[in-house]
Amino acid sequence: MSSVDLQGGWISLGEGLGLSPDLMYAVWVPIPIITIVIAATLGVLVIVWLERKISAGAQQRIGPEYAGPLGLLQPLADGLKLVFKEDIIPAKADKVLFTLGPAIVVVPVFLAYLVVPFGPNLMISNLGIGTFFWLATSSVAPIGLLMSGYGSNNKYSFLGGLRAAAQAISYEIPLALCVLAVALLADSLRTVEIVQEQAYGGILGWNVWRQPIGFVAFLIAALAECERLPFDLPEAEEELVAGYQTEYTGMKFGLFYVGSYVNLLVSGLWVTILYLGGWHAPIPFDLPNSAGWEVVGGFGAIFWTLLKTYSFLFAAILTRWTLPRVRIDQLLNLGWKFLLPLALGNLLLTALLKLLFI
Amino acid sequence: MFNFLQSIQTYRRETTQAAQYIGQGFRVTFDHMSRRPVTIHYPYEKLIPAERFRGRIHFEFDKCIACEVCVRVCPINLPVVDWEFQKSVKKKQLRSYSIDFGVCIFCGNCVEYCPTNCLSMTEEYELSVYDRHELNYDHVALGRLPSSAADDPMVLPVQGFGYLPAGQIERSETCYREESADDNL
Repeated sequence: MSSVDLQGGWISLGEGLGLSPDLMYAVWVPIPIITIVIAATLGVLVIVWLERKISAGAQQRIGPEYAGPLGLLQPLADGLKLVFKEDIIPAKADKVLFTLGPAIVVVPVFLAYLVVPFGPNLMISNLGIGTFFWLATSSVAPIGLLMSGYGSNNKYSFLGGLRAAAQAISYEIPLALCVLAVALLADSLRTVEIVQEQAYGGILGWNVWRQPIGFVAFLIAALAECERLPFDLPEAEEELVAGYQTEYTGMKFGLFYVGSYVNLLVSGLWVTILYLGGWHAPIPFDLPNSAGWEVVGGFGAIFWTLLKTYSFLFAAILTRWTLPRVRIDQLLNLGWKFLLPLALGNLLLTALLKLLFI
Repeated sequence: MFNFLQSIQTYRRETTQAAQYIGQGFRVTFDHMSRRPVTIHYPYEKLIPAERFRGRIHFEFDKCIACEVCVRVCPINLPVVDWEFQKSVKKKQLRSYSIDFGVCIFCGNCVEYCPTNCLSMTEEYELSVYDRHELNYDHVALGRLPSSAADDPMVLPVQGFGYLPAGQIERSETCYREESADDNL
């Protein structure tokens, strides 16, 4: 299918140098993984900068300005500050859970990148259970939140941890149901196939038009899943200081920070994959069939994926300054009494139409 | 059965209404993004407050007749008026006058009621000091001419929103470089 084969090229390059293919393969394996991890971390820096600038815009402020051009280096400075801060473990805390918590929150979030396609062949692993894998790993994170909330030995942390778990569990279900409806349309859980299924007809072929209810439900559930502002109850400043993050400092806090933004980025990527046609341009066009143009096409695919993802992030940041925070009972009401029936109805409707017409 | 349908109707109406309100909210936030920031980069740019701004109080020693009206109208009797009765001219002679700006609430009552207009409000608002006792201004400090941000060549004066024409809510670019009217004072 593709004439540019990076992996094959790498291995034959090794053969040219007299190295065994097995060794070259072993060296090859971590390269895409590291690339993705670095890209995700850089993505976090971009989101932090965007968040601060867009927030400033929405409030008629200027935002970060002096660290680098337009304040672009501000997130880097923030991160550097966190690295140099003292790492405090409260005296009566459960040290193991306290230390393990942030790691368990962050790792599954990064794992979700395993199945995210940035282009037809630009992904780490084309798993047959792609979307399911994401749903499964993202439900590991609440355990970490509970651990850190409990391990902090602080009533606010504990409440925050419980809230995080409750929120994550109640919004996982509508999220899964929305994904199921999309998977029904594509006849597959494979992310590449879900995207390919939206390839025809440009912007009109995207799943947004076929799944409008699912799209809205997914957006809301994704925001809740990321604990973004209308749903940031686990760390509600007014009531819970900072929720499960209260006792954390230094790099452990930094892990939560990075984790939440990476999670947001993942959600944006999934919105793109499931509803906004993944790497496809809004207006379809054909590139000449040669190796050089294929590289251009690859970069184009990354560009469109990221453009769609960041427009979701823009909407999320705007939401933050538009909607007031909901109460915990309102949050659970919205999840169980509104989104769950909505997503379920959407799934049934999709199944019905699928049975009738296809 | 009818009740059930009605409750569904109500629910549907409330949902659409909520969606409408959310849309309205988004319009407001989105509109704000295209506006000019209100920020003034403080040490480099300084605000020229509105004409009726109540800043540091200016006091003219020679005009004062030591009537102590300012003390009486002050909510906390703040001005300290130290005078001596001069028998020869049958008049009160002012010896010293002081206001502690650490306690003053800048209500302007003293300025309002002063019979000889020896008190006035200035546009000075940079009153920070390291020791709070330095805020206790005596008549010499009170008599100093107020400095305006517009006269400082090192800072860019920015006019406050009070100077905007009626109905305008954003500073235009021209508002950032405006010489004060009393430059030649």
